[in-house]
Amino acid sequence: MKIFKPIAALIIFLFLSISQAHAAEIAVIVNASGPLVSVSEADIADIYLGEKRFQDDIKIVPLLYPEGAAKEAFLRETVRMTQKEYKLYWTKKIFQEGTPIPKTPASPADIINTVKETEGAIGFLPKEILKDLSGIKIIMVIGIK
Amino acid sequence: MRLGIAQKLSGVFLLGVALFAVSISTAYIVMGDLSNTIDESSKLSRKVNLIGNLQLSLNKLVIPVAEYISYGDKGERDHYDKLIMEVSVNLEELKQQKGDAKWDEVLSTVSNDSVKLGEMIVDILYMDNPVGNKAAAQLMKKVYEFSERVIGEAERFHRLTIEEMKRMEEAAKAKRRKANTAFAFILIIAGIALPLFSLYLSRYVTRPLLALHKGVGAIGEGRLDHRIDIKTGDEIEALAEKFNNMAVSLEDAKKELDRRLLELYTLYNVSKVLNTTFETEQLLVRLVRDISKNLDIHRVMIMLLDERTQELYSASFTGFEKEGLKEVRRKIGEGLYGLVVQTGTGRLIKDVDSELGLAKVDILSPDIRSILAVPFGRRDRTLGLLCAFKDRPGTFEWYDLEFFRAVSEQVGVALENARLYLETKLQAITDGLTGLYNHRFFRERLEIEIERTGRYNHSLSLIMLDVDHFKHYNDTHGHPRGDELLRELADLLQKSIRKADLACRYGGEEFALILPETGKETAVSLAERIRKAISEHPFPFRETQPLGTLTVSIGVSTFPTDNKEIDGLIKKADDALYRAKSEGRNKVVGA
Repeated sequence: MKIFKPIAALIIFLFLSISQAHAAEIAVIVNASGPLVSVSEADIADIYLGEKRFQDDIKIVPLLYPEGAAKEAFLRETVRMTQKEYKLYWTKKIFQEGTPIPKTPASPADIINTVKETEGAIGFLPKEILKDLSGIKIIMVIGIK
Repeated sequence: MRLGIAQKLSGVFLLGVALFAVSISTAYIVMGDLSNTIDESSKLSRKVNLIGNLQLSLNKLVIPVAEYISYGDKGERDHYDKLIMEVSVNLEELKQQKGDAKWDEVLSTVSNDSVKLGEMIVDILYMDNPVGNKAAAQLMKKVYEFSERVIGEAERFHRLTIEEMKRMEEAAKAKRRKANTAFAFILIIAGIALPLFSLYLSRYVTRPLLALHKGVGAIGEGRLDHRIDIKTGDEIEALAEKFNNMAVSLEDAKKELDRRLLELYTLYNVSKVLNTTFETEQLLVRLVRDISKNLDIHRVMIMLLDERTQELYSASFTGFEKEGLKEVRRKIGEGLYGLVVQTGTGRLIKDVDSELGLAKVDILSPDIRSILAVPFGRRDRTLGLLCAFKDRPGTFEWYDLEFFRAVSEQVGVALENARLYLETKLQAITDGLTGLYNHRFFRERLEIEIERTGRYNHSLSLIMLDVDHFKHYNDTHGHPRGDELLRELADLLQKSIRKADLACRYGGEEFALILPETGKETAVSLAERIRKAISEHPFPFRETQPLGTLTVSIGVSTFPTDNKEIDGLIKKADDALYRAKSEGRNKVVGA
C-alpha cells in the first residue's frame, strides 16, 4: 500500500499533465483486426456498461482511462453518466451480477499495447498520444469540452 | 458331509480369502472416509482462507477514502475500482463454496452491504475539497462503522464454517468409531478363525499327511504289520486305506513266500536225507524227524506196505511219545489209511470232528484234530503212506497237501533207490543161484569176524561142506536139476544155522559156514546135525546117488586153536574136509 501510493500518484500526474497540456480530442481505439472494428456507439455504451461482453464469440476487453477530463468526456458521450454515477453503477453491478469492472491500465502505452495485442480490446485515450497506429483502428473521436 | 482334500483346502483358503477381503474392504471404506474427511478439511480451510480474504479486502476498502480525505488525491477513485473488484471476486469465490441456506443468507447480506458500503465510499470519493471537511470526516466515521458491520457480517461465515467443522469432526469421530468396531470385530474373528483354520488344517491335512508319511515309511521299511490310521473322510483316508491294503497284500505275499521258502528248504533237506541215506530204516527215521522239525509238525508217521501180507504197518513215527504208540497196522482199503493206499490219492482232513465216516481208531490220539495222509510209491506201485497230524483244526491247508505230495514223490524215489541199493549191495555179496553170501563176502566177513573174535579172545569155527558125487548128479539129471539141488541145499543150510551164523557158497558145490562165538565141540556137533539133516532130506532123485541118498562131506576148523590166520584156518578146514572125503564121505571131520 505504501509503495503503491507514490507510484500511482506519479503516473497519474504524468497522465494529467500530458492530457491536460494537449487535451482536445479522445480517440476510441480497437484492435484493427478484431471484431470491434465496426461497433456502433450504442454497442460501445453497452460494452462499457458490461451488457455486451462478447462479439463474434471473442471476449471483449474494455479499458478505461484514469479519472479525469478524458474519462469524463468519454463517459458523457457514450454511457451518458458522470464518473461518480458510473462508479456507483458498477459498484452495484459487480455485486449483483459479478461482471468485472473495466480495467484501468497503468499507462497509455499499456492501453495501446493491450489494444494491439488483444482482439476484443477497446479503449480510449487522448488522440495526441497516439503515434503509431499499426494494428489499431480509431473508431470514434470525442471532443473534450 | 464328506469333503475331499481339495475341498477342505479350498474351503480353508476361501475362508481365509474372505476374511482378508472383508478386512480389505473395511480398510478401503475407512480409507475412503478418511480421504473424504481430508477433502472436506481442505475445503474448510479453503473456505476459511476465502473468508479471511474477503474480510481483508473489505477492510482495504476504507483505505482510499481515508487517503482521499487526508490528501484529496483523485487517483484514489481508480484505486477504489481495484479494491471493490477484489471484494467482489472474493465474494464470488465464497459463492462457489457449497453452503446451506444460512450460508446463502450471509452471502446475500454481505453482498448487499458491500454495495451500500461501496456507494458510501464513492459518495465521499466524489466530494470536492474533502481535506479538512467536517462533513466528509463524519461520513468517514459512518463508513468505518459500516465497514465494521460488514466485516462482522462476514464473520458469520467463520461461525458457519466452524459449525460445519464441528459437524465434520463429529462425523469423523463416528466413522472412526465404526471403523474401530469393524476392525475389532475382524480381529476377533481372525483371532478365532485363524487358530481354528490351523487346527483344522493340522487335523485334516498336516497330521494325516504326517501319519501317511510315517506309515508309508514304516511299510517301506518292511514293517508290514503297520496299519495307517487316518479318519478324515477324504482322499488321504482313501490313500491310507490303499496303503494298508497294499501292506496286507505284501504281508500275505511275504507269508506265502516264507512258507514256500520253508517248503523248499524242507524239501531240500528231505531230499538230502533221501539221497544220502540208503539204509531204509535209517532213512525212515531221519525222514519223520526232519519233516517234524522243519515244518514244526509235532506228529509225523510213515507207513510201509508189506508186499507179502498186503498190510500197512507203521515203519517210523515221531511225536507219539505221550500216547505210547507201538504200531499201527491196517489192511488195504481199511479205514482212512487203507483207503489212501488203495486209491493212491492223498487225503486232507481239516477237522476230524466234522469229518463223517472217519473211524475213531484212525485218529491216533484224542488230541489230534487235523490229519494229512499222502501215499508214495513208484510207477503204479504204492509203497506206503506219509502222514502228518496237528492238534488244532484247520491248520493244514491245500498247500500243505501239495507239499506233502511233492515230498512223498521224493520218498517213493528214495525208498526205491534204497531197495535197489540193497539189491545191488546184496548182489555184490550174494550168490545169484542160492541166495547165500558169495565167496568174496565170505572172505571179507571171515576176516572181520576173526579180528573181532581175536579182540574179545573168543572162539570162532569154520565149517567147510562139500556135496558128495555132485558131478554124478549133474551128469545124470542135467545142470538145471543140479542147480535146483544146490538151491534146495542152500535153503536147508539157512534153516539149520543159528541167527549169528553165516552160510556162504564157497565154490561150485562147496559151502562154507562161519560160526562166530563157537568152539570146536559145538561146531562139530552142529556139523553133524547138518550132515544128518541133509542125508535125510528128500532131495529129488537122491536115490540115484552112489550112496543111495544125497550126502555131504564136512570139515571143521576153529580159531584160534587150529589157526590164527584166515588162510590157515581155511586150509585146516579144507584138510579136514579132504580127510572126510577120503574116509568114505558123508562124514564130519574136525581139524
